[in-house]
Amino acid sequence: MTVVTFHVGPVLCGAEVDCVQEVLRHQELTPIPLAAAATPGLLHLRGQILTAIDLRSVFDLPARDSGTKPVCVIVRKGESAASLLADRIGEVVEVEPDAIEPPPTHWQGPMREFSRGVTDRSDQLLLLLDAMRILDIESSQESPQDEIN
Amino acid sequence: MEDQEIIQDFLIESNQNLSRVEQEILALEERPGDGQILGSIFRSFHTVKGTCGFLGFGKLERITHQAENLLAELRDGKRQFTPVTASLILETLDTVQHELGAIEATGNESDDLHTQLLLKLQRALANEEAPPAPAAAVEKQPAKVAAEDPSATEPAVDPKGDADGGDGEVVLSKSSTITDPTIRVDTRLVDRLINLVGELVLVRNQVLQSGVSGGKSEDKAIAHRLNLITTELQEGVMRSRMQPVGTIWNKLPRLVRDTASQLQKDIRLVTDGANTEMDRTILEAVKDPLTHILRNSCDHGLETPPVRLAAGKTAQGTVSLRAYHEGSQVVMEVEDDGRGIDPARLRAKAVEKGILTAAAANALSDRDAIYLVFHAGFSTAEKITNISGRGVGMDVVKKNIQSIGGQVELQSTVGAGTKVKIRIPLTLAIIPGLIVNSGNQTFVIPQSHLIELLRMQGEKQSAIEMSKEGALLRWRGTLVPLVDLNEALQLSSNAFDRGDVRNIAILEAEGATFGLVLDRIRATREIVVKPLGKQLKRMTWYAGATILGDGSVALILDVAGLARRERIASRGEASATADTAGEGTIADKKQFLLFACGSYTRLSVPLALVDRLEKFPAAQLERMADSWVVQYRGALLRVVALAKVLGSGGEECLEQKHVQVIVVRRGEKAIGLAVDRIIDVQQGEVTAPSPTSASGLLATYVLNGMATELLDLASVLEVADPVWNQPRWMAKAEGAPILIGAHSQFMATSLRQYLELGGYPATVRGSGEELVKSMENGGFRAVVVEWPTPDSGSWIETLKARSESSGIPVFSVGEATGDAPPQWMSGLCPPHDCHSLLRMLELSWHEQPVSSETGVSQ
Repeated sequence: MTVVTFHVGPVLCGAEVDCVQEVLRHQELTPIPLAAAATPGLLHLRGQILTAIDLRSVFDLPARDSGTKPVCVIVRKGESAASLLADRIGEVVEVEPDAIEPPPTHWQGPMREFSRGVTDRSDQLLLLLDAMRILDIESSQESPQDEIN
Repeated sequence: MEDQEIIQDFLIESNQNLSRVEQEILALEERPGDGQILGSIFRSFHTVKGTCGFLGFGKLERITHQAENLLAELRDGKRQFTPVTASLILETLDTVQHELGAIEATGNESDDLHTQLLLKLQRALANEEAPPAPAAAVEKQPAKVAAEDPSATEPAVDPKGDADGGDGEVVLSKSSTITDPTIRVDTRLVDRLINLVGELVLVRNQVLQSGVSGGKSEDKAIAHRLNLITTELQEGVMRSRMQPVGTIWNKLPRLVRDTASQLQKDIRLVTDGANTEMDRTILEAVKDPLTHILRNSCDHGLETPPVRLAAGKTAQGTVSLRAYHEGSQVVMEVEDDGRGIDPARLRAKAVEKGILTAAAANALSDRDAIYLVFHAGFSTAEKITNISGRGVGMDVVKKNIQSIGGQVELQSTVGAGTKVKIRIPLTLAIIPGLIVNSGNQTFVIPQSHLIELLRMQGEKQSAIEMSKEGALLRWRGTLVPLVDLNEALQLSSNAFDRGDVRNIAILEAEGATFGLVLDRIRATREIVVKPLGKQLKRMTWYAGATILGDGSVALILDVAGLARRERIASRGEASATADTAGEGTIADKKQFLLFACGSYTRLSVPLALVDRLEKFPAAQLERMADSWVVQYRGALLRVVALAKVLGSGGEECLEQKHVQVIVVRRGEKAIGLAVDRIIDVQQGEVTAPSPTSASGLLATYVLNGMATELLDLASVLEVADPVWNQPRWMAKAEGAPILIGAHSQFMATSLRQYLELGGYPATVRGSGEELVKSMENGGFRAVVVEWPTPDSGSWIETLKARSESSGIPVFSVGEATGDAPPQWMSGLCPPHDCHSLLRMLELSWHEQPVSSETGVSQ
């Protein structure tokens, strides 16, 4: 399968080319008050409004330096779409389905949760994103019981 | 593969034909023997039969064949059209539609052989066979028809020659003979086009902006043309989403007919306004609630013929279904002439079910009591029928209508009937919204939730009180909770701390009223609502987002969600209880005029708003055009019956010997509200106010121990006298002129027209330098500047300095695209919006937070 790779801090991520609609340079975001850090803003893309999902925040990595601007990887699966914020874009690579392994056991939390597997890429592990799950991320600072009221 | 397509086409075509048949049969019951309608029904079945034979659906072919035989006899006058026959044809129709459904789902006919129906059809054909050659006729008929086929598919053979047609009205058959000028379009395509047009509008805005500053006249002409075409294109594409409400109504006659026969009632359905168009998504959402209301009317509303006759009514009950446009809304009404809703019974029921305490129930006015039917789990049907009365219903109806931004109103007179009025927005895709700023971010508040805009300055801020529940605003005689958007969304330091609360929007959602404190109120706009991604679906205080003229994104606030998040409902209660407990600080002592009018026995209005009370002999009232006038203090005073304005009665009060009139005055302008009688003037505290949805009323509250309704004078006057607001502006004519700084001739002219219409003399200055110079000379009330200015030079700074030193306010008018005007200018008023401009000016010298005069009622 063909995979688009991008860098998020020290992590090399990849998304299947079929669900990557396009990659954009940094775009101005409209902040969403009260949203979790993982969804820092909204993005206007040709008449559609997309939620930006910051992968650094999703993976619990330290925030980007204020000087560096993230790139937008527009991911679409079915009716659902979002813009993933990554540090910089990598390349388009072929990954043999046989070469995909389950994530290493020492990966816990979000890295495990949002990957559908890993594969060895020369000297680095390539984390294959589970697009469906990452698009399903829900944003709210509130604890659930706070909202029922 | 090809077969699949043929079947698909067959299904679409058949469903279309057959949905028409249903209406045609019902029309036939009105005009039995109408040859054209019969011919049309016949052809529909014939077409289905023919295609079935071709595609090998044997069972459908058999059924339609028999029906066709029956219809042929009807058409040829060999058989009388009776209700029995009608039912049989309808039953056949249902079966055929059922089979078509099966084919659509499985690709094949169902296993049911429908022997019962076939038998019935055969028996009907055999029993009432026309005398000559019985068996032969049955066999022959189809052959003959087949031979006739070419002429049969050419329906307009004899459009005027329907000798047997009773009334000559052939509306139905007419519509079916003309070639359909429409095409079917995938709605997703339409939605995409709408999106693209939205994009085009943005590009247009950018072009216009550069065109204005670019300067070349050729470019300007092109930009102008682009502007016109884009606007027209946008309107056209938007219209393509519209559908006439008739498309959801056409199932209803059948529903009424079936319900009537099931309940042994005689019901006539009258429809009016089926061509009223609205957005198809809303249309879909309204379908079920409407069906439910109609069913309720037939079931609970209308009585059986014996009961009706005993009550002196006609045996046949009437349900009327109406649709019409009113402003940016569509109104649908379902009205019956049945028994009406008995408020006493509802009160009793509410107490019995534990929904209300006896005291609370008694405190409800009749008008409010009937709204109890919207309470969840409330059903007063004496016996539960399989049609309605399962206790789920009206509450769900109300919820569904509200969820699409609509409202449900209820009017009922015991013994005379009930009217349910649904108000729904024209479209969900575009809504009027108020663009506001807080914490350097732009938000949009849907206008449908906006009651009033207030601007607080200086001593007016004393209307704000701090309690342990948070800030409260004294507004229209009640206390409403205040929420600072900065604080609610954790944007920046909040206005209460800064002590400079300036802009407040009074909002209403789900019965809760509250004031939202905003940094800046910018403009009202029609905005295109875009959904938010599902990642944000739990943030219920956002209803979506929109793209502003400059391409930036603004979040649309969900007022109900925000109120829930801020726990407005419980804060409201807390303040109300504090009121009754008499804690003093938040009680509101006022004098009220109490009076009776129409079905209201205890209405009130703050005495301060009343000019005089007058009693005129009825003979002095004169009819002028469509209203009543009386000579009063050397002028003509227009008198309107308040009951009629409130929709709670007619003009009875004008027929008394002496007409009791409440005179309300504003400047030179006065109007008389005729009421039934004056009760008293009482001083008291407004305790436990609860907002009411009745039109023309603000709230129900307890005044000196009695439940009392509070009149919404502003909205009453607006209904009673549509031009009420105009003379208010006229009264300003003697003031100093207003200075207009506009660089385009067109803008200058239109601004001057607006101002003069509002009664303000105006002076126009073309360039910034001229403007500043004129200001130096003084003698102006205010300055209105066209924004953006092409030469944003140093004069802006000079203007600012002059404005600050002289205290003359500066307003900006223009599209909210590109650079926003500097903060020190007041608001950005949309161009070509006379009303907003005048209101903005009005606000600036008329800071009246508690009076409804500053209201922007929507």
